[in-house]
Order: sequence, then structure tokens, then C-alpha cells
Amino acid sequence: MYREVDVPCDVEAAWQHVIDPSWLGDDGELDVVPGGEGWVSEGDETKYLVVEEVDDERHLSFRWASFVDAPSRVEIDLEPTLEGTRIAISESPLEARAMASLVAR
Amino acid sequence: MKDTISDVFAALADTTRRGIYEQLLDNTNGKTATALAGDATVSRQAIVKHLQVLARSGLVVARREGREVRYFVTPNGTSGASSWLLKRAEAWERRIAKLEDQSRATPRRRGIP
Repeated sequence: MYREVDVPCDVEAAWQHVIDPSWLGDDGELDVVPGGEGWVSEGDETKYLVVEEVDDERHLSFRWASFVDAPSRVEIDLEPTLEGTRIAISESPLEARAMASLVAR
Repeated sequence: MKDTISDVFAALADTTRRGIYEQLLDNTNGKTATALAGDATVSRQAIVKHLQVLARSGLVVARREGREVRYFVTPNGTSGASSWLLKRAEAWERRIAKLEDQSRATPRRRGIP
């Protein structure tokens, strides 16, 4: 999964929106430091997050999983543009190694 | 619990296997490994191995008819994987729309070159 979105605010403001995890679901909390933990609720599902990398106003990555969803890694990159900020978001599954061994079988 | 979705993606991650699966999709009467090998550049033995991976993932099923084994696509074999993809895509559409809304609510700072 890879998406890019252009938002009309500067990177400073965009970063503040990105690190408030409520946009990832209905509600949430996140301790935005490497190794920091948090949660996001969406409907009756709750995802649990662990922050991996934080580079203020540029990059945030975290792992997340729920009881019904396999773990995946989300990476978010911010870049200033003439109009505001470009936010690039990617999500990749974490069981890549398990899939590779199945293919090699 | 068997992780069928991973098995389906792994099975279809190989171009040869995807080609075999496409051929079986086009043949409602199924095909034998020998017939599949006849159209391919790989050996019958390799085709059989690929068919076994496809069968383990639940995408195809082998059926003995007289002296030959024919392979057929399983109805709705990809439905678990495709609904997984769709659910994820929809969730990100919702999240990005929310992020855009929140960002639009913040006025752009003036005086920045």
C-alpha cells in the first residue's frame, strides 16, 4: 500500500496532524518517541502501535497489529511543497519472511 | 489457524504460477499438468510443483478423471485475499480523508518563502 496526499498546510502543522493518531481511526493515543506505544480504535477493532523511528517534521514509522489483523509496518514521510506539504504513506506486511519461505518450498 | 491469505499472495507472487492460474481460469473443463507444460517453457515436473503450491493455497483443486489428473480453479479461491485488500484500501481512504480534513482546518502559515 502506497499513497501520497498533498495537504495545504506547512510541514510543521502537517506533522502535528500526523503524530495525533486520531486520523488513523476513530480515536487513539501515541507516545511519539522511538519505542513509544499507543493504540487506535476503529469501530470495534483496536490496533496496538509501537513507534520505530521519529524524525521531527520529516518521518514517522511504526508497527501496528490487532487481534484480527496481522502486524504491518507503516511509514510516513513529509516533504514541503510550494502549496503546502506532501505526505507519503506506505504500509507493508511484517510476515514477508514467512511468505518468502512458502514461495521457495 | 491456516493463514490462507498469505498462502494466496505467495502462490500468486510467482509469474509462472500466475500464468498457470490464468490458464486454468480460462478453462472451465480444467487442464492436466501435461497440457499446461505443452504451452509453457518449463518442464512438466516444474508445472506439477507449481500446481501443488496453488493447490495448498486453495486456489486450485486436483480431480482424478479416469487415468488423468485435471486441475481446476476453486470458486472464490481469491475472495479472502481480495476482500483483505479491499478492506485495507478502504481503511486508508478513510484515514487519508480525515488527515486532509484536519490539515485544511489549519490555515497555512504566512511569510514562508
